[in-house]
Amino acid sequence: MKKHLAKILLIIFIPLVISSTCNPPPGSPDAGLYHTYAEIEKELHDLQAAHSNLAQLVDLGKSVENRSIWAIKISDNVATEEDEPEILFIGGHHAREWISIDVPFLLAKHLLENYNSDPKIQGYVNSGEIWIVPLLNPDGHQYSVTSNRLWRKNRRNNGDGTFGVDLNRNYSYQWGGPGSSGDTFSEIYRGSGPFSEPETKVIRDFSQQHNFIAMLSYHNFSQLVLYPWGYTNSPAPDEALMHGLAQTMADNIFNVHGKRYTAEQSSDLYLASGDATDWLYGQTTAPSYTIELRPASAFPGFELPESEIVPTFEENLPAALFLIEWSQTNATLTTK
Amino acid sequence: MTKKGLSFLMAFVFLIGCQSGTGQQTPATVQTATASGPQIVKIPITNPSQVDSLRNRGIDILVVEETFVAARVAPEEEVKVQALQLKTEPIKETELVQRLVRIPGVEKARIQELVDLGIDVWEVEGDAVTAQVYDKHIWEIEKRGFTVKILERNVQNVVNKAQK
Repeated sequence: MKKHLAKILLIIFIPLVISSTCNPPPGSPDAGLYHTYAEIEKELHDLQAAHSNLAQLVDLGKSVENRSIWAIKISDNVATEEDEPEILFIGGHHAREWISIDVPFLLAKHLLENYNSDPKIQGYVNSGEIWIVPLLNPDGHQYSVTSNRLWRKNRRNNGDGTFGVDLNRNYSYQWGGPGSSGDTFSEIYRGSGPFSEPETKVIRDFSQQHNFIAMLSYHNFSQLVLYPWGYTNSPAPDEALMHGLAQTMADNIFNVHGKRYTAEQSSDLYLASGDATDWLYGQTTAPSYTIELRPASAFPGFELPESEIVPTFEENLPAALFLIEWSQTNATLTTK
Repeated sequence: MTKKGLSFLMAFVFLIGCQSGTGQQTPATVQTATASGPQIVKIPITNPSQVDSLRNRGIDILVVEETFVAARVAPEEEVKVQALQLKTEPIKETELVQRLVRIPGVEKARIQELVDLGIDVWEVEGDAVTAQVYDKHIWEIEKRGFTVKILERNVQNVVNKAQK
């Protein structure tokens, strides 16, 4: 009788365990068709598993709240560090800019899923090392999904009743200059010092271990293709080259769904110091871009409708592929 | 091992496996507030004149709501607050309310002045700036001769509205 009772209890117990641990509990993070941190993490692992010969996931380091910051490397002979041109795509500096995470993630997915069927993709993957960090600010993004949709910064406890550092004002190049704030409560708080945040340190250390020929950082919104400098109105030494590439990317974007993105120097609107593109370009002279994705204006602003995720990716795909191709074929700059 | 023992072991392994796959992380211990520097605090008020009294005593006010202000108060300034029969309390993040505003008539050459106040510029459209700001910012913007139109008293009210 005891044996039967134990079996009956197990039959009841196991499904309960499954439902309570494997299904997200009610109220768990849900970003609709946009990806949460947990979803991005899982799908990156799935991509690696499905394309283990082409994709390698690397845990670059931990965020303030100890979440892993993932990079996916896409290349043939992916386990080997080959002497090939490298390019870096970053998403999710700013927590509320959800589309900036989905676009680089979908880029990784596209490259891997079309490798066998598209000779151009195969060529890009075989000829270079493509690194994609879809979500640099996992803590802030999680907070944006669960608590405050408009959260921008990371989740640093500033120790004075405020939280967060603007990661895109925390890089060391011209840190502390115009367009950043020393007030902890400000949305553009630059942090207590250059690279004070683990999330930006991760990019610094990772970039120093590699030789990126170009970089593209996704944000939203405004539909812009921006290039250094951001901290000054003076043109960068490679302004003509960077503007030309930016204009070609903008044209490529326009040709897909007719959305006009404006190519301009980052400081054309106003100055901002300590951002990722000024830092990488300032350190290495690698052309570095910010693409401000859809929409064009403040309404809907950060809340880009889910129906626009795929079209936004579709129009940005040829721009990303163009930059990959340029980094592999036409790059004449000597970096580092 | 008996069948029952094996079943329990399998259930245990399954339970552990599922939990490690959820992607949830334990937040790291966060740094504690330093008592030596200024703190952002809540000061409950009962009438609007108390806002002026605090301001006249040099308290750096960030936000004014109906029943409280949010202010940056250094330890040595606590005495000024107490002298007004008021007290400071820890502030919740949700109480650091920001407004969504539109600032028309901003010449291109003067946009930087606004940005350098530490405001969160959402959009520059023609000569109008749309931004997320604290009340402190609004006063500073107005001091510079600009007009500030409040679009939302609490920027959180914008959420989901754009798609309705």
